Amino acid sequence: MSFNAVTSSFKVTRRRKTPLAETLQVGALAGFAAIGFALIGAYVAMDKRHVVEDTLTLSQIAFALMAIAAGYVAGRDRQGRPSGTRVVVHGAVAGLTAGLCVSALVLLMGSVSLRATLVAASPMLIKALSLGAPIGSLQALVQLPALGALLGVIGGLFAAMPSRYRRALTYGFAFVLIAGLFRDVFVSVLDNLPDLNGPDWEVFGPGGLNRGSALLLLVGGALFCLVRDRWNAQIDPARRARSSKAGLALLLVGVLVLPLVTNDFVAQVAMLVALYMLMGMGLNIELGLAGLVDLGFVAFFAVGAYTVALMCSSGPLAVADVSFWVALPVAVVLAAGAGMLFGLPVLRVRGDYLAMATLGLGEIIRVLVLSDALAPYLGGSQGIIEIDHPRIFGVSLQSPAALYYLALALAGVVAFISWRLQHARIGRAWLAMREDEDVAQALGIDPVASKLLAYTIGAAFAGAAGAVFAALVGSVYPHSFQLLVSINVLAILVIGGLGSLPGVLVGAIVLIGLPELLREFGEFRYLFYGIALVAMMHVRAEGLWPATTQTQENARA
Amino acid sequence: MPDVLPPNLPLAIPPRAPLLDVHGLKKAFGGMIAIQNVDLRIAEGSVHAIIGPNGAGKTTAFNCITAFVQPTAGTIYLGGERIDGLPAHVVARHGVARTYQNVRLFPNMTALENVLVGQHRRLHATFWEAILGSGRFRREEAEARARAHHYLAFVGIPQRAGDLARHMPYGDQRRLEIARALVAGPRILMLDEPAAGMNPAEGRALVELIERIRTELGVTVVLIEHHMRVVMAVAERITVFNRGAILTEGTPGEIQADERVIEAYLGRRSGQIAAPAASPEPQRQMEARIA
Repeated sequence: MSFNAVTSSFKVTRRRKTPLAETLQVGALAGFAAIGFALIGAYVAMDKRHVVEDTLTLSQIAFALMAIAAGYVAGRDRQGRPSGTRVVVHGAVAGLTAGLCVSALVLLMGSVSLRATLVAASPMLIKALSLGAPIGSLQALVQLPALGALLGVIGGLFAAMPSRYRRALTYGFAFVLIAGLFRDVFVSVLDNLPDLNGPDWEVFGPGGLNRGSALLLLVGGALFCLVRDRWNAQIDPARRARSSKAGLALLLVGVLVLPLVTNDFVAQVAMLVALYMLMGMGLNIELGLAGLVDLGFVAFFAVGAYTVALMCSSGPLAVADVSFWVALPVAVVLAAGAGMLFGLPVLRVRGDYLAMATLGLGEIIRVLVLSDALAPYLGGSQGIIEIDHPRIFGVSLQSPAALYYLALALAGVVAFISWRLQHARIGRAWLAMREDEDVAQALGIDPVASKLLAYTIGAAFAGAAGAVFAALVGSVYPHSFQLLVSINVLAILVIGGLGSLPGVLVGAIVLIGLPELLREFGEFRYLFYGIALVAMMHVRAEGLWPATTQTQENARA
Repeated sequence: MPDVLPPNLPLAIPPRAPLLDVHGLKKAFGGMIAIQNVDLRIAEGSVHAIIGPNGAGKTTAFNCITAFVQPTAGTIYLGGERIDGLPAHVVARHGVARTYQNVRLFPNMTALENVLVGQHRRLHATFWEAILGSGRFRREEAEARARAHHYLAFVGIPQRAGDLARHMPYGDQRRLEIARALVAGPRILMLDEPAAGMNPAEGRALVELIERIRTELGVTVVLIEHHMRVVMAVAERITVFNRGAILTEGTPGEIQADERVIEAYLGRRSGQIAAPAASPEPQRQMEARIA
């Protein structure tokens, strides 16, 4: 796949320096990252969010992680094996360097006003970075490098400890971070549950976790990991498979009851995730399986949405007034038809040229919908409004929870179809085409026909997503169908793992669910998007849940 | 395109027609003529070797027959049916299977999946049957898997089924490629330098495998090969290519005795123009092997 080719070219062999120079460099790198983080305003924004009530804010955690990471990297020697004194000394030096960088920033901001060019370099930032010490005092300047050194040593020790404990600590920390970050979700769950924890003890404060519960989660998460590792190591594979099946069932139950136990906001976010999953699975057939880079995917989404809009609207532009259940198959068929129509001319082009061609097609649809010529039929930029909600047995599906179940059911159907196709003749033909088109053809696979089928099915799935989208929002406008939607779907696949169905789920949760739940940091959304993508390409180019492990497991089963 | 006889005219098919009948094949890349006037008659059930110096046009002839490239002129018949001008996947459906000079597997698929892809044209369950999981689909899939395992065992790598192709050792990759080609049930198997990079022991195993392909599966084999030991051991007939044309054809004994063949490989003596294209390295190898 071309993504692999791109990522492998990034792997440049590093020239060796003296250990101390390397450590200083790592520390400075972490320091600059921290300075950048502060100067774009992320620090102040995230300082308002408490992970542990009155103790730790999100931005403090971010800074601490940078120092720990510096210490971790510096603590390892060239073979990657940690050694006693090295861990402490180099970890401390790296953390100290990082802390000094931040101190320098505070000092600079205190003496010179940078606000003319850097809006974020505000007194608020200085106050936040002083960590409660008097602003401009010696303590404020010294505590940062000292803290940095301490965290660097922790990072170094982290590198030195057996991987078992490292994993356990990571788990515990992740538990705390997740619980603290998504406090609102968990609080709404706890509110909906019968009163188990009693009035005298609250897990969550008004902003984040309470200290006691944070500690409990840290220890609990670590213990959970240790116990699970031991469990996995001892029992035989058959039982492990059964326990992983049980885990899957648990996950399924969680997905099913999610909107019931949380609030409407979470249900709405979950619905958006399910919607993107639908689209992701469509693109997964095109890109993940058949290797067709499609940047105009949103076009089919738009076709599906507009079909439902025209058929179910009670507004003046409606061409029919039928139920959603009649309009949905029509939308799917029309989107598939559009896919086939588009596919015929563009599928003879290969690779990067295909990306460009589909990009053009996606824009054509949007421009067409916006155009004056079609405005009398499609509403132009005014869009189509008053789309009826779907009904089941006379009950209108209006609540976010109901629409979530609708999207989830469709996603389930689509996942089932994808899974079946993937393990059939045609799915294998797609994979073969992705790997080596010429060889696949020499084995009797008709390249144009199989590509066209992939494109058509992908378009049909996107059409289904568009149909649900129209029913959900109750109105469609051209500006909902930007290029950004195509790119989002593409990023979901890359993050989750190309060609992997669970990867689509993971990718949609990470890239759509998390940013929606963390709305307050919306302005930094695409920054972290970008960082996540670049980091993924370096660290785990095959995605969070790659497809190859599955194929190997299948072969062994 | 060739302006010769229409496909089904009896005249085009000589009595006791060979399985593969190539006539007047020519391929030009721009002004460079890679092969011309190539006639090949491959008898059904035989093992036929094609040898010649590097750049003599052997692989180009293969590529023309399998429709990897379209020939500039000439006709190709397989079992009496004309196959030149058809797209590669249609040629494959006529029963032509091949391997490649540089192994070309699907690297990120397992050995089993590679062989399953090879069965593409043997499977018939439709798209809808696959989605609904019909009885025929499930039966066919089970058969396909069984067949895949059978052919992996046939080429001697049954234990590799679950391994990703790119993680397999080179020799096993070559075998896997042969299994993938065979599983489609071809009438003719075209091997492009199957023994390249093999040691003598592996070469002997390959000779044995080719014998079994012919006797147990009844598949006609055409191979391009530089290893003379392998060629002399398996081939009933040998065609020698030189400078984009056929130099001679005959039994292994005839070819070994032919002065022109040695000359083509080693060049002429006494300051005359040496045979082109042959790089020094294969020349030395050839010298050693023919001797």
